[in-house]
Amino acid sequence: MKKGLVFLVLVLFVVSVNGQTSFTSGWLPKVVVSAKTSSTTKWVNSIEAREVFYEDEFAFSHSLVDVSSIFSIKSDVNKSFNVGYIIRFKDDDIIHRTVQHFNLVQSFDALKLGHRFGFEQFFESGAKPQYRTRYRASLEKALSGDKVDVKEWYVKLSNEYLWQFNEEDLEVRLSPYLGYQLSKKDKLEFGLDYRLGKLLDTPKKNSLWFRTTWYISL
Amino acid sequence: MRFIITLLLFCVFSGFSQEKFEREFRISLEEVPLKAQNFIKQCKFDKKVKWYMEESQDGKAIEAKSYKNSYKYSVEFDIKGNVLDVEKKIKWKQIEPSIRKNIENSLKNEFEKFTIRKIQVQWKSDEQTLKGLINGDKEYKIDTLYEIVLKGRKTQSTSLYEVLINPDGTIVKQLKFAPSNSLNLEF
Repeated sequence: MKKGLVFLVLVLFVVSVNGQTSFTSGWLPKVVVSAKTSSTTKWVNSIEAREVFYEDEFAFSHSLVDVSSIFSIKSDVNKSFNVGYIIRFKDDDIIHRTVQHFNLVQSFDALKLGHRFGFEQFFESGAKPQYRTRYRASLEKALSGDKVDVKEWYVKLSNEYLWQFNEEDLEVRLSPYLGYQLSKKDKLEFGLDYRLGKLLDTPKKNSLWFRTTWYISL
Repeated sequence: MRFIITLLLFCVFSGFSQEKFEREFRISLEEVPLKAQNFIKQCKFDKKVKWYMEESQDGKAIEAKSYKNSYKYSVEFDIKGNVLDVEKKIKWKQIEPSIRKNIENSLKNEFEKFTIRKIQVQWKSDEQTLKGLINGDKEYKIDTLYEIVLKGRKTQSTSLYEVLINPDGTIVKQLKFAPSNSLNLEF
């Protein structure tokens, strides 16, 4: 299965790079802090930066920062609705985003499968509002035992599809991660985030990011 | 005296429905006591046996997991290699109808609403009997306990529970699962 996955990533990568005119690569550091506000609600804040190392040629630049604040309501043991706001600082521009997400996490004997369905609206001064929908499936597998315990490693694989209504653009993301449960309250993940945009169009837009995320539950 | 009785009652009730704590990690065959290895060899499982060390509210134990005749088995040993119990994953419909009825009635009394997620039969007996039961030897018959993982609703709050119940429907043990943290699958 692992060999098949590596092959799929390579094929996707080679196919997209061959017909490309744009390729971007860099680092996406992110910190997510979650605080429980009641037995069924939590408040989740995050900050994420985008540092570009390559954009058709090697060039180091700071691209953007996203700051988000999301309120999450648990509707069942494994289901939640999230509503929130994200502000993006990109050069001199500020982009506001409102999000509505629905999450479902299925637990199996030795696996966890998370589904995220989302709607997002983008607002920027001097531009028309943009609308996007997305679906992400994430699979988590402990590398020791059936579930991830403290001081244990795990792998996570995500596959996401994003549809931009205004530009009628489809983007696919594929992300393999390695994670480590540092304590009961925090975990660290690092891995690759490969994005293939303008999938129904030419030229295609693709990017490969090295992602590190620190999840903290207060 | 009153204080001791109160304390005892508190311990009994808190022990009956406490939160499930369990940590499990893989161990190599070399770390498994020979006694446990020999027991498993005689069970002739169809697939590779995976060994785990398990730490829970009941202490430390060694667990072997494998498959036989398409059933998933977990065999638990103490750290010296003495077999403690055997669990076999089954489906709800494989339980005898009269026992199913008893379990259902008992769970209806305990929970406002419930959905069964996983069922295992649990056997506790001597080494010879447990080996016989795994190998499908019909001469061995013992009382079976049912370990049920369910999503249950109690006083307006829904959680996951592990309930150990006997064939007449008496709940022997009940543990509530600590909410699982899936922040990394949601955000």
